[in-house]
Amino acid sequence: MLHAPELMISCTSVRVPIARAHSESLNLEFEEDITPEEAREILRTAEGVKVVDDPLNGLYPMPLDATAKYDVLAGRIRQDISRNDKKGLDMFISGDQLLRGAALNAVEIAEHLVKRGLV
Amino acid sequence: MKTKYNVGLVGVGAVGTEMIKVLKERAFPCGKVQVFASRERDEQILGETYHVLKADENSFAGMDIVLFAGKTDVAIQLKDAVVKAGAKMIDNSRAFRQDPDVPLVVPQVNAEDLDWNKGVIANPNCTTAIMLEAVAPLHRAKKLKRLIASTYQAASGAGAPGLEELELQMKEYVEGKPLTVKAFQHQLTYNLIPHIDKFDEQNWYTLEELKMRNEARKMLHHPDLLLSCTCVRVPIARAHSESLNLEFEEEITPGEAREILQASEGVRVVDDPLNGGYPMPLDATGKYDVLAGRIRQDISRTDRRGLEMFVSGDQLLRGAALNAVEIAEHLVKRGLV
Repeated sequence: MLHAPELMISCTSVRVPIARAHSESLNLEFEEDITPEEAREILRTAEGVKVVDDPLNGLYPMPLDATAKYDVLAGRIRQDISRNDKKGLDMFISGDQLLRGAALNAVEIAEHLVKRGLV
Repeated sequence: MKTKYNVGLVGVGAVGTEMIKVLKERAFPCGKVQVFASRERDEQILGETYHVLKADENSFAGMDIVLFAGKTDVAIQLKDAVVKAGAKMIDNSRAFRQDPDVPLVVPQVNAEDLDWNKGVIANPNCTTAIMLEAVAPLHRAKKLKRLIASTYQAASGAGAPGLEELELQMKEYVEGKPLTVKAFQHQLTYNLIPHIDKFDEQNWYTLEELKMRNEARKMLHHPDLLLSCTCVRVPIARAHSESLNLEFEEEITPGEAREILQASEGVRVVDDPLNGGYPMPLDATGKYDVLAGRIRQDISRTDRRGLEMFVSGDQLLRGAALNAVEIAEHLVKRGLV
């Protein structure tokens, strides 16, 4: 989907005892420097994702808050301290797997087929 | 050499109670056992009545070992009294973990650091202890360079009130009542909370996440270790789990890693995925060993220097009570008490 056939990804998937919404702890490495502020700004202007990143006020993505929401919640955005450069970020996200991960996504694809005159 | 050791215990919360249990289970050669808490009283602990005293500067005469399972400020306040009495203090709080005069020890990782103790030995944070039990043997063989961790931490990691709140919330949930939220920042039932301990306002990691790095560096004698971590509270009762991405200086295969861990103490390889064999907190609960499994070559690297691993360990045992009692055992074995 990213048209990045050489993208390196490793992942450990774990089932947790909660009802709905998946969460993911992501460690990201980019080709270029990126700061947490830049990342937040980019995500604030992006569709389908909502930045929830005010940790001092207890605001970060949690599955309860992502449940039944269209947007994926992104937060805990910080520079990866395990690198000596600024190419790394850590981030935590929560999203409703029945909506973005299935039903909403399918309907949005239908909407885009209509919009693009493909159906 | 003595054959019996007088033992003091400060604090009778989740960890203190577990310490008494472990002292008995492992038949530590206790002489007198004196329990201290915030006020004097008779207290039933595991079916036995203890006359609990309030600890002060004069409480530790005649003690050989004093286990601290209480708050950080209590440990700081009573440290000099314990050392002056000639007893060894084994502290589970964060008070002295980064003190250069205090060894920070998991016996299977760095028992040799006990030899330079000056009267105080610190128990590491529970997530660090569990991680290092599985990582230190691999580091000794192949030298660890960088580690990315994601944790799944149990409610009882926040002490008895944490576990009680999870159990109360589950009951309230089933009964359709509003959920009580006090011990944690948010509802934990059916939720995940990526917030354990305070936030560092410089780098926005939590202190829990920074402890993983700082304590691992000290215990592995590896000040350059690169480590990033995301710590998350999960709605389970007991035992912490960690997903670990490991990068080594040298090549390492999953087969080698399993072999190294199978020959190591304090860790048990549970890695038979086709038969449903992998570490899970339920299976680690009440167990001394940290469980390690899902060991595989990191496919995000083009070389063989990366491994993925999942571990589960009982944070009240390896992460606290068992570790403290094992430190006491090693002090005896090394003639340091």
